[in-house]
Amino acid sequence: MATVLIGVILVINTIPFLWLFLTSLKTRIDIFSIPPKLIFDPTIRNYSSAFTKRHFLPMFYNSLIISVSTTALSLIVGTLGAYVLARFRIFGDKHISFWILSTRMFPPIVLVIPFYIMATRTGLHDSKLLMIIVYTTFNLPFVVWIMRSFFEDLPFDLEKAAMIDGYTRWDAFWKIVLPLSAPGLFTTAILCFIFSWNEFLFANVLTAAASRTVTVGIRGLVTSRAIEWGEIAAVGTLQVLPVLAFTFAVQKYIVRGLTLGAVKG
Amino acid sequence: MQVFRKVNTWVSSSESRFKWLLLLPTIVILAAITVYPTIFALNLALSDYNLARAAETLKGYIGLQNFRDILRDREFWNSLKITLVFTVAVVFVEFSLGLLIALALQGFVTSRIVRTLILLPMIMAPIVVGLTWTYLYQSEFGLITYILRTLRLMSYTTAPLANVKTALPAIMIVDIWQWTPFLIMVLLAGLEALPTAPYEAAKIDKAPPLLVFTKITLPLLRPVILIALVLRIMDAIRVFDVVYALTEGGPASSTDVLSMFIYRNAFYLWNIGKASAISFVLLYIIMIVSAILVNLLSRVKTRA
Repeated sequence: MATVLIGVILVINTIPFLWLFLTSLKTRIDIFSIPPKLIFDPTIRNYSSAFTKRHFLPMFYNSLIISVSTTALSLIVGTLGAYVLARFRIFGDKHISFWILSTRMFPPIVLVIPFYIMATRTGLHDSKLLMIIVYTTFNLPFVVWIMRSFFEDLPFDLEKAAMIDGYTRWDAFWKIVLPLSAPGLFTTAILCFIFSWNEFLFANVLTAAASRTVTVGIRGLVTSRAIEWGEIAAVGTLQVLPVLAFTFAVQKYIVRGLTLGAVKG
Repeated sequence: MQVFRKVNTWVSSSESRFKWLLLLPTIVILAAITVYPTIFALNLALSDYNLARAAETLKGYIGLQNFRDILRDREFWNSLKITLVFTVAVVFVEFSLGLLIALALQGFVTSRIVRTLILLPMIMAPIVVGLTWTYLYQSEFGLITYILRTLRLMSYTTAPLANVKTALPAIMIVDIWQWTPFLIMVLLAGLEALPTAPYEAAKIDKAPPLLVFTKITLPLLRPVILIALVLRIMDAIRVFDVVYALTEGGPASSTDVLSMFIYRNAFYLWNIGKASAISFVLLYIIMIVSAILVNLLSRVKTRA
């Protein structure tokens, strides 16, 4: 029974993506055929034209640089903050934690308007730096919440023992706590990367020719004159594949990550 | 090296110095990139700032005029209604399906590949999900359109996204496809972490399965259920990418969710003041809903 159910779920879950992948290998004629074709002569022309004619290489590069930078920035800053919130009593710590969580819940449409106006006034519009800053608005609170939950899992006695052995507070954190939290850090980094890599609304408003990301570029293949389904499918497939590989790598902690550390999968 | 050692000792020598030095970067950066833009946006919301009009025709500060206009705007109420219908419907279906499937699959989802493929819809970029489904719903050669017509469930004169009656349900199906896996995995994690003792006691007492479910499973699972619902409701209220890809709010505003409505006012009509004001209304709604849910959550936690 359960196996059949899993089978049905997997079919429903994967068909749209598989259909996208099949479409990416079709010629224009096969794409427009009625009934839709399952068997056809595959071509890689959509992939080559996405890179030659539509210049997706710089967009993949932009997405990569922006996602990696915001992930690194959020991880470095947020991990330190998370450690303090997990370990120390601080004046107003409950309020600080709640405020950090609430920024994570902030609807992006509220922030995108002021960011657009500020960016055009300061000349930061269409720059990678701007996108890195903007993506940190959702990645930093995410890192703080989830790393705090990972740190809370470690017994405080570890650091106490290290400090009795002559470690400073910083050494106890850097040499004991951080290495033990490596799986958590790794999962957090990957999820930050995926959130940034997949982001569309901010990028659509705040980037143009110079720092356009893949998600914006792929939507750009929909124009009032034509929709380039073959190229959309090719770029879509390439956009999803790394995310799929990363998810495979971290799926042990992914539920925990996606519930901000609240549900330990 | 000597310098590093000195910095290390200085940072670590006082507990209050250590904790504030580590926490301050988070607070300062977050304040700069979220609080400041929010204040900036509030200023915009109180002005008639409009990039489509000449600067000398604008008054600047107009107080609460935008908010008064919004409350009289039928398009706003329509958009609010669509957002609420969308949120309630998708979260209800996703939760029901997710719970049923999670109960059926307890202990069976162990393979990494299966887990990854169950997660596939929700880790795909929403804009790619939207475009993929636009293609599936395409009015001539879309796979779903073709199947519906072959089964005579839909006529040749219409298409899923072209009809005022079917466009919103069509988008809901995409959201349900994308997010039911989230509820399956979260509830599954919650179920598999439940203590076994109450179940053993129930077994000895020969309690009927339905009673076990309502009296043991549901109460124990409540914190997990609430967290999953909070996250899902927050995301559904602000849904944008999928709608933007599938319909851009059409046909005839039948899928015009609040984020889409705000986006249109800001970046098609360039009415920045009004768009900012609506975005604050959305923010209030989210704050009220989250306050209610967080309140429920903390009550559950203290009781547990």
